[in-house]
Amino acid sequence: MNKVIAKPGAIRLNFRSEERIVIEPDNKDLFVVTMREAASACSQAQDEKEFAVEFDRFLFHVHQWCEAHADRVQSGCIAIGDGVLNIFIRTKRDRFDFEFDETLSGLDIELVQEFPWLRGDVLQVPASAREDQALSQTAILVYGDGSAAPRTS
Amino acid sequence: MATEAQHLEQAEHNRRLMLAVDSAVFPDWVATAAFYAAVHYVAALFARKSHLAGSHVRRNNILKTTYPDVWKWYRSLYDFSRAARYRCYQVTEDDLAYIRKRLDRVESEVRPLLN
Repeated sequence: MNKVIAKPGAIRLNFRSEERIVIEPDNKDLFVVTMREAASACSQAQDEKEFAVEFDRFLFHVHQWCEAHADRVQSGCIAIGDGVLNIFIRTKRDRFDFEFDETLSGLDIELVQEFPWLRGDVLQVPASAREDQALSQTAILVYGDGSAAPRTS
Repeated sequence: MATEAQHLEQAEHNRRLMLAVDSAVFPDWVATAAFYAAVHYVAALFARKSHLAGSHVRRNNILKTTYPDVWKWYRSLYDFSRAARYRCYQVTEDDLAYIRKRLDRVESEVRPLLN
């Protein structure tokens, strides 16, 4: 979180305080929470905001990588599978492209160095692999024509 | 927990299976046996270095961050065997030549790290 110097007179929410404060939402539905709860909610919202920015940066990184390898890559998409992120790279070849494999391993290592929070693997999908309809609808397409989603485990 | 020696033994055991399977009839299982041989070479390394990896996720992550030279060959086996097992990818003899080579590379990267 960025360090911010509070101006004099700014309201301070203390993580240890049980003092009660009143929240006044736009819909007039007032509610009361402790300062500790309000501070936690603010912190959580800030974490989520920062994660969203970081996740977007990750998606853009994969997009740029695909673009840089457009001669071999047909499309790229991100999907959740087995509790991790699967980064599916669909190649232009019908067969598994072993010559391209080392380059994909490079992407995998690059991603874990650049995004240490990431738990996921880069997976190659040959152009001939069949698509999974459900996955096609839930995966995030980061590059190409939308035919990146393969069958998953 | 299995020892380094037991993992190496299991790796060799799986490698023998890979060689015993008729690759003309069950090429997909050759790829799967190769992957599970690689898993045990890596498990031997982890036993030596006291890494705990109870899942593919954790194992892969340790390899990526600590042993990238092993990972780049192991990843290929992991990726390909998943395609063969779950995506019904039709494995050919040409593919298997690459797979065997990659298993050899995993072993040759791991062995020196055990000395």
